[in-house]
Amino acid sequence: MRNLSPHSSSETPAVLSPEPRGWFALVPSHQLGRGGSWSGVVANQACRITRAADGSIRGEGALGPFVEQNGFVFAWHGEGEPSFVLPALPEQGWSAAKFHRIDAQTHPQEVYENSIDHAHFPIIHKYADIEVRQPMVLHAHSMRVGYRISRALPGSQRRLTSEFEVQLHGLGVAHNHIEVPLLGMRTRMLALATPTTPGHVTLWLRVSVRFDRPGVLGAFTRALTPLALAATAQGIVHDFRQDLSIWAHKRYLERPVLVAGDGPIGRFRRWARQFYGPVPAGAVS
Amino acid sequence: MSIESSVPFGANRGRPSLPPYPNSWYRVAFSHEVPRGTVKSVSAFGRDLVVFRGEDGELGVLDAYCPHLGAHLGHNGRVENNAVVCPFHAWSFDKGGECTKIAYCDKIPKRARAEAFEVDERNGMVFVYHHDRGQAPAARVPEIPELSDPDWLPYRSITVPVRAHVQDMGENAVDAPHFQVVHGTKDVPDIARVEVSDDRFVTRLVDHFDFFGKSRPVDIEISIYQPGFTTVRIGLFMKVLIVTTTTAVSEDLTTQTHSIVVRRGRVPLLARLFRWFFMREIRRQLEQDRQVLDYKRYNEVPVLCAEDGPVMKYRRWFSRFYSDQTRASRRRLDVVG
Repeated sequence: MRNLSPHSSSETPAVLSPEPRGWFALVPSHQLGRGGSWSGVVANQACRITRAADGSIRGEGALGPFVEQNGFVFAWHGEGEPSFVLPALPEQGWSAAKFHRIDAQTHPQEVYENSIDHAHFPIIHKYADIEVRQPMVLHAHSMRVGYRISRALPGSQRRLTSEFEVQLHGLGVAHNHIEVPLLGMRTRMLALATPTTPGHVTLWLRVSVRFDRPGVLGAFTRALTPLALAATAQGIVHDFRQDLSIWAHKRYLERPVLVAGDGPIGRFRRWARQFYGPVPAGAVS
Repeated sequence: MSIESSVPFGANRGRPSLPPYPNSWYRVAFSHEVPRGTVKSVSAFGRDLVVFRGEDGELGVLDAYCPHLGAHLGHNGRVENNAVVCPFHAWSFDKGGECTKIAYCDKIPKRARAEAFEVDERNGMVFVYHHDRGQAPAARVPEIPELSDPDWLPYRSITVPVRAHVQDMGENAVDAPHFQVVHGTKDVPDIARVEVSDDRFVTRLVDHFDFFGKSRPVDIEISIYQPGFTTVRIGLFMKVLIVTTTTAVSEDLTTQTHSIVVRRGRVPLLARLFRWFFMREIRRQLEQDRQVLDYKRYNEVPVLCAEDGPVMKYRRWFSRFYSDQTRASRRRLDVVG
């Protein structure tokens, strides 16, 4: 017997809206060659960009201006001039980058709320020994938080301790740093949540690694960089995928019941309000 | 090349001038779909719900969204002992909706509750009660002994989604002429009697069934107990009982499930054969009904003629399932009386 009842049809809107103001990644730079073009929907608006022969980018539609840094073309979404700048990260010393694209049914704010909601780490991602090393700091348009966790190695009982820090710039760009002291390995991961149509996000990931340990051991680990990069990128994509089914079926509750042990959800949400509604006077930094 | 119209139709039929979800028990699952230790996600009366069965065998029905950070309790949620556990942060909720465990916090706030709904398991089905003012149910769904009687074959079910209001679904049963027009019966069936009692609205019809060229009378008794529960008893050369459960899912969608039992009789193989034939016929008729119901409009003041069935009588009776009776049963033209 087949049950034809669908099971997600309540009438109150379940997802957060509208799309926030901020910088959003459109496309990896290497996918937009000279003379090439890209078109898509960003923040529910049609957008088309072309790269001229001299390498410059021109756009059509309501978005802009555009900047290109750290392997992506970003567009500003929101009325008027951008109210903050995106810091560029140095590329020297870092491995080649791996790019990955995940389509998610969610909202950018939900993607990043996840990074301060550390109570879900052990349940969804099976992290253990979670320690908040750097409590959430909010400053103007940016947020920073840092943890130490231990994570099972894929297909093994061994656990690796790592430290990771999230630096969020608006609700579209997260620069994440992960350090695994035992391996002397650092990972840099850009997690870029771009709202497309209502309720949908394209999440761009860009992962690169580096080994800075001196000596023979250092030379040996550096030789394994391509392997380490592939494994790390795979682990990161795996962890994001674990969140997808929660995101796709959850509802955004305006007044969640929170307890001691939850992350600073309320403070994060109050900070996030600046990216909606009219631009506050004198907000340009 | 086929020429298709690029102009849509029916875009302006609007919604009925009726409250969308009459107060009623609504079937949300069959019992066997929720074995011990499992959770099932459903939507009914405009709500998303989870139905779960604890290790003790008891059922709970809760609002599907965790009051913590809004995760859907039914998507990868699990049952631990007698509670449903949220997939996101592992908060546990018992069948009363109370949060009984948060692994990372000893003090559970009073507000940590999921809305719980009244549930009744009967006839191998799980029913949930909806009342738009939260009142307790006036009556339960009746027990239908044939469904578990060994003299009757086990039931077979058909579910159809329909884009119509729950009230329209039952109205179809008293609408005599539609049997001829929509389903192609030989004549408009005679409505022998309509009995209205406190617990049900009964329509008795005499239809004629063409069997190898011979016209045979068929007695049909349709008993509507609640918006969500109807039985149809058919006396042909075989005794057939259809238990029809209707569930208002959202303002635009209703699902109807017909569970059909046939009396074994002296030749059970014949009964099975008949059941197969009958199921096919029901499926055909449901598809025919959908062709009208999916596109019809609810006329608050319909133009009726003398041969129409007791449509207005049915509507007056049905208005008891709305909290706001004035909105549902305004005085209007009533031909049949």
